[in-house]
Amino acid sequence: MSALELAGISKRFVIRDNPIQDLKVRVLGVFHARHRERRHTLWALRDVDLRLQRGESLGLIGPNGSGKSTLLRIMGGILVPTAGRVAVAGTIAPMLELGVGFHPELTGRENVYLSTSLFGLGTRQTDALYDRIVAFAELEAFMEAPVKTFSSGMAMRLGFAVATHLDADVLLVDEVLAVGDRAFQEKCLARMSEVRGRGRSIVLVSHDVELVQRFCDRACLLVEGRVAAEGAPGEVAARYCEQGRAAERAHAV
Amino acid sequence: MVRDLLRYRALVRNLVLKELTLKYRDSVLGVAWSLGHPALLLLVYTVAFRHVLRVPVPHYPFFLLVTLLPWNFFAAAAVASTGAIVHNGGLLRKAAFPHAALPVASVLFAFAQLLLALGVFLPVVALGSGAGLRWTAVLLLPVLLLHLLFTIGIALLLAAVTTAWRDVAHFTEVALVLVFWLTPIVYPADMVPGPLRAVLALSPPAAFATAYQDVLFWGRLPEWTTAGAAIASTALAVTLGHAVFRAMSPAFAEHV
Repeated sequence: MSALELAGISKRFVIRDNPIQDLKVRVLGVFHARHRERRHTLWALRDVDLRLQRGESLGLIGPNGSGKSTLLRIMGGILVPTAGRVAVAGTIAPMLELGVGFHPELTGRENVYLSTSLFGLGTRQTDALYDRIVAFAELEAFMEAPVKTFSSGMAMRLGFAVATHLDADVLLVDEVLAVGDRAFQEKCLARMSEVRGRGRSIVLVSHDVELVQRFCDRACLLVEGRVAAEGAPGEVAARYCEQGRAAERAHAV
Repeated sequence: MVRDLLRYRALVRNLVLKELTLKYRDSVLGVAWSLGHPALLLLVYTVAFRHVLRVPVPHYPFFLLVTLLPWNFFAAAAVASTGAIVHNGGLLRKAAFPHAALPVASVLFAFAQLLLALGVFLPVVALGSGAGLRWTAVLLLPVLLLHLLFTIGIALLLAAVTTAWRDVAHFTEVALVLVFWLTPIVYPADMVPGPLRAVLALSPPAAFATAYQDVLFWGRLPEWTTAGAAIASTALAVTLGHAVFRAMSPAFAEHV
């Protein structure tokens, strides 16, 4: 049974090349083409089909600008696709950044409640999770202090703890592990394995090919907004490296 | 939209608490500022309009209070709502939640301050001025609720439209000053000359100002034209605000 299904997803962005369009520029534009608004469209995704099984972890790899983050945002319901259909069975927690909604002046406790409510949890649901979140983040002694006094590592731990305790059916993770130190990464991976073990699905976007091979059941390579390869992480990773070398050669010539 | 907001009511509550906390934490006088600000306005306007311009209304501070506090709520909510979406790009791009929670929280934050100020000043000024309150004061509750709904409608509209035209934020600030002076707040509606009065009475803020004055200051039932204008403008504001916000909301994450 699939937790998430994407069918024929395309996403077009309209990019304005000269974004300043105040009255002066508009009036000048009547006389000079140079001042007229210029736009071009960019297809960030083209006809992407993907299916995520329950309890599966899928790695999304690909060069910068290949559409990985856009795809993740479409899965998370943050962006609306230009074409195609997203079918979700259950709840989704997008972890595109650690500590979404955290405000530096608010205390750790206040930020936990704000952040969980941003993902749709009620106050009582957060009450029930609160101690586990704090214990995972190892911040028992600091929760009444403003987050601005936290080290970046402490804030990251709290953000990760919140996102992985929401108990969503699908967890979307965008490069967030890259920012932590080794111990933090290991702890996060262990936690994500635990989440997956309980039948939750994970989509992991990463540049770290080894991480994807180690953690994911399946991988998908995106190139210029299209699915270039899909399958066993080892094979897809090999394709990615091969493709990277080809691009380098083309660049050298 | 209503069902989504109810499901995310913890978010709305936490956003309001966040604004309250951020506003008052670390300030020595704290919540007293919410009262000090209107108190100073009341003082200055009373000096200017009762003692200098001699507006012929008995118990002038009381007369002023009953419309000035609600106006401050509406103006603060309108200004805050123009930034509610465009200043929260970080949230909109990272999380999927009902976007209406942001402007609605801005309105409720201003409303909380209105309730606080009314709760403190209304008994003090009504009794202190010797005018007192009549039974019609119980109608304050429906008037407040209607005004809250009207303001939410306007806030949804402003929050959405500002994402497409940032000028709306500047325009709103200017428009609020104009509307303030064209609304019977510092002067009673019957001071306005005939033909102009008919025109000004059509404005929704005037209908609400008159309703507050009727139930609190004059101690009488609002006329059906006042009640009708308030209800009709609320229905229009909510319908329009809801429709525009819902239509524009899917693109917010791309435009802010």
